[in-house]
Amino acid sequence: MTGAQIAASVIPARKRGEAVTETLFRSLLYGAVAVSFIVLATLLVDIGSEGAGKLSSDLFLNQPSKIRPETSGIQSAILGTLYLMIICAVFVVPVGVATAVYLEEYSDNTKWWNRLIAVNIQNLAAVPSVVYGILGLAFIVRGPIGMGPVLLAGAITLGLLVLPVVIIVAREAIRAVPPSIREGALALGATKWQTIWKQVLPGSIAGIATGVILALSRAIGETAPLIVIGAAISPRFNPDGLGSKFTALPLQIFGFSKDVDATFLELAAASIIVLMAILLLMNSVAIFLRNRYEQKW
Amino acid sequence: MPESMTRKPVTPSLAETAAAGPSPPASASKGAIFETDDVHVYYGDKLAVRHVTLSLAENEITALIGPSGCGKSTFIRCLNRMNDLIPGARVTGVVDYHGVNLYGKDVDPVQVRKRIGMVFQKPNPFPKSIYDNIAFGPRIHSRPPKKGDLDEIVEGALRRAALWDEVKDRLKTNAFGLSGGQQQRLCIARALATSPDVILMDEPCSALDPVSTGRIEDLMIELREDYSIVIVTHNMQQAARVSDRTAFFTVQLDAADGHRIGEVVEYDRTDKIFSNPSDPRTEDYVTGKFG
Repeated sequence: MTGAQIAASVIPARKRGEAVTETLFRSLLYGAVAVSFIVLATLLVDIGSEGAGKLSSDLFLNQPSKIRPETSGIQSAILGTLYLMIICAVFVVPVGVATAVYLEEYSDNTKWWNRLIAVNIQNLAAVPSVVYGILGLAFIVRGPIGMGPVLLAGAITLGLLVLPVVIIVAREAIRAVPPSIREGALALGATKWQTIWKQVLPGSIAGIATGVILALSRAIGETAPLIVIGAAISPRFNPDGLGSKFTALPLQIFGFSKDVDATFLELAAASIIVLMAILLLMNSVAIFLRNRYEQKW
Repeated sequence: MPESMTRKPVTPSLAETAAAGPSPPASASKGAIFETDDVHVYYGDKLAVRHVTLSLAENEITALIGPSGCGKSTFIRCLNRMNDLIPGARVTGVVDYHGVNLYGKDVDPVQVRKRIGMVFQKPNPFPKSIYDNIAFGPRIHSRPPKKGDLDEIVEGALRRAALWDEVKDRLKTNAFGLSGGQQQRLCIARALATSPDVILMDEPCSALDPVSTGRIEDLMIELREDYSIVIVTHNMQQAARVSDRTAFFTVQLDAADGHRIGEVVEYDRTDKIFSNPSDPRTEDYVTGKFG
């Protein structure tokens, strides 16, 4: 027997049926990718062609107008969204990280109440945003706190909405710090607090920051809770403090798109472009942070 | 017989059995650093180690050997209260350190760990620079040293751990860039920087290659001049090479539910344990018949 004959007897030729299955499966995967890609591309092209004409300095410098769409801008909405995000982050980061530190480092998981808290936080992350809007309306805008439909109320409502996500992401980042690092610090005579503050949190900061940004980029697109708490649409003034009435980009887009005038629809498209640009920027920062600072153990 | 064993210091009580050995080094004062009395360790309801009564001498290397699950790591973690960190762990009995019961009511485990350093099985440098790794201990103490003093502490610790010449030009680089053996010496240096008088080593060489292991062993023998060392090891040759005394632990099965309980079979000078043990179980273990 020649070498080739031996090889043929030891390694049988590929069966035809297997090759067909292989090709079929691969085409299915390509198809699935194509569906999501085509939908996204259509959306971008459609929005882009409709809104591009309105992407002028007017959009950024002028306030929204319900009667003069040709010169209407969205300045109050852009600023409203930015302020919302900042206030939301200021509220959500300390509370979320502190909760995550408690759950990961202090809570005794053999106790049922700690497991209950953890499961509840998981569930809260899945609660529809409109429910948070109703919570905000009942407790913050009206009810016991009763501050009205102001910037702080909106920021807290959105903060409550993303808090569970921040807690979950921060827990994962904290859990990724190996126990040997904690042991190492404690064995040198560090207190528990020093160990967390000087080793665990610095070791997980990239994961936490990435998670916070991704959570905020969910909050930035939320419309329902802001509608429910009664945020303004098309205000002709910028928010000037925590107690100021405000609007945000998704809400303003909603406001524009209710109008029948085609120019308002162009304004809505242009606002969507602005909103997506902000989202893209935030996600890029998150990716950058993850690649640059993520700790490999 | 390895060279390290022939220059063992001699304690009065064992003078007859080791009468041929040279006299102990002048720096070694032969008090007991740890005296444990009937130590039991429980994890939850389960007894893990029982009846450990040992007296560990100052400026000596004490090796804890025995098969897996015999409680030697559990026991070494009683000596700096690292067992406190395991939920459900409980220690009974007395662990005297310079005459102070570490499990006494007023003892702060954080203070205990500042005096009693520990090196772990897997090198665990912090994800920081070499300098910051060493400086971590001094910096967290109640009165952190000034920058110049800190530089001195870092250099001193690295020199003691025989790492200075290899890293002096890259103190600001990340410690993760060091080799495994260098990382382990960094961890030893890090422990030395808090000026402890005891160093506990929990299988410090089991993740290292033979060359790095040799360097750590040389280092331990050097450090014995100024520190007391307790080492847990799976490697009997290592115990024979470096240690002055050896405690042999073994596993007993619980009569009721069959779970594993560790206890000390024999504790003596290392040369005696390895050449003329009193207990047949020790002999079987050190000659490789079981374990």
